[in-house]
Amino acid sequence: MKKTMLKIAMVFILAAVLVSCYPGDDVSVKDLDTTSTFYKKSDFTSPPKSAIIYWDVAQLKGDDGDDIDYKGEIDDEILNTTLDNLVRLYGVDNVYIFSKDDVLFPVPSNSGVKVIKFGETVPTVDAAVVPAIVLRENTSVGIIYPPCLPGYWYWYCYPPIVDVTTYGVGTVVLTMHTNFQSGSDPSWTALMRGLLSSSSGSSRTIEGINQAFEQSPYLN
Amino acid sequence: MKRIYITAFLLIGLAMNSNAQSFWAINWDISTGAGDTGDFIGNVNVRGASLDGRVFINDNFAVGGHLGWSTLYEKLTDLPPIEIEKDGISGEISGTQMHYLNVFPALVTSHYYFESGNVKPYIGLGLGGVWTEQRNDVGLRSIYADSFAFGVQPEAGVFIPIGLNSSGINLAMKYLYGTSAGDLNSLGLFTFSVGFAFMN
Repeated sequence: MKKTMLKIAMVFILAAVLVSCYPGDDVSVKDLDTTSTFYKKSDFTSPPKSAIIYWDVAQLKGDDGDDIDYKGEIDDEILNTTLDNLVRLYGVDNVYIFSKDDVLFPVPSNSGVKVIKFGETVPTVDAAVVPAIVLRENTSVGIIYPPCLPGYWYWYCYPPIVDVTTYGVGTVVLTMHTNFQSGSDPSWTALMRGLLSSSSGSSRTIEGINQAFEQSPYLN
Repeated sequence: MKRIYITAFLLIGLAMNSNAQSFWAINWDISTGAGDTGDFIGNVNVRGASLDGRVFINDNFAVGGHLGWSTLYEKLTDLPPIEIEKDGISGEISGTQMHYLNVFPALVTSHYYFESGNVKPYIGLGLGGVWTEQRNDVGLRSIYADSFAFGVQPEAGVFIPIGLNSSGINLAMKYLYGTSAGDLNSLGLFTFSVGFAFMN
């Protein structure tokens, strides 16, 4: 009888080992999405009352050409979801769009927002928001300096984007600047990871950006 | 803690080599968290196993050891963001969280068996150490902590003989409490055990 019990025990222990320490359900791509927001408290002691958004999504590429293929598939969601949240925070009269192009693409979701075009005087605002997307594979750096673009902007080019963790390919990055001195770090950085990973990227982009603003109540 | 292990091994050796009546049980453990553990993982998990060995000092009283392994898991959505603070930068991370808990108790036990014919109800208490490993996966990030803490486990159960050779079914209810240690809060674990057992 003892031998029988020992055999049963062996099967039992083997089964226990096989189920392993880390069981799990099926993990979907969406389950791996994260929204991370980082901010400097000292920059929000007096929250912004107005903001301007740069109407383009900076594509953060590497020098080796080893980037994923991206043709602006989720630019609309990135820009318009961010715009909607800014309008919700500061009101339509206190939000501006800055565009280097005469014709805006994508079309802004809120036609009441004033558009400042290249060459026009930029109004005084408390915060500037720059959207970007990471296309470089295996990007893991301290600070990313996006390429400069022609046209008037506070820094004449995109501001540096601080990496507080490892970027994954497809990560959408929103930075908000409240200190407009050249070279200053962003006051608020939001990283929506993994949004290009599947065909559901569109809805996940919207959810991720909405979540970033929702979990940052200090923005207004 | 070494003393506990040595004592447990001595008791097991004593049980295997002596002519005293002994009790062995191999259990399937179904567990759920309580208290801080329940806040971390609240559902019922069926991945667990334990081994009990006891030797009778007299007709009613037995001493022995308990070794167990319970794995708890829960996927949680819509949780509040995890707040972090480092080097003057504050932040929040949100996303689906996968909570894992592995609990390994190693206890010295004593049990009292009631006189009630062939079916033997019992109550008992275990004291010893509990190693706990806790992991929280958020996306591709992982927050890990483990600890070795003092543990106590009251228990009530029954041995139901079936067939010949004094083999039978062991049913037991246990509550394992582990003190807070390291980065982990106190452990609370309700467990229902069902297993094969035999007395000789």
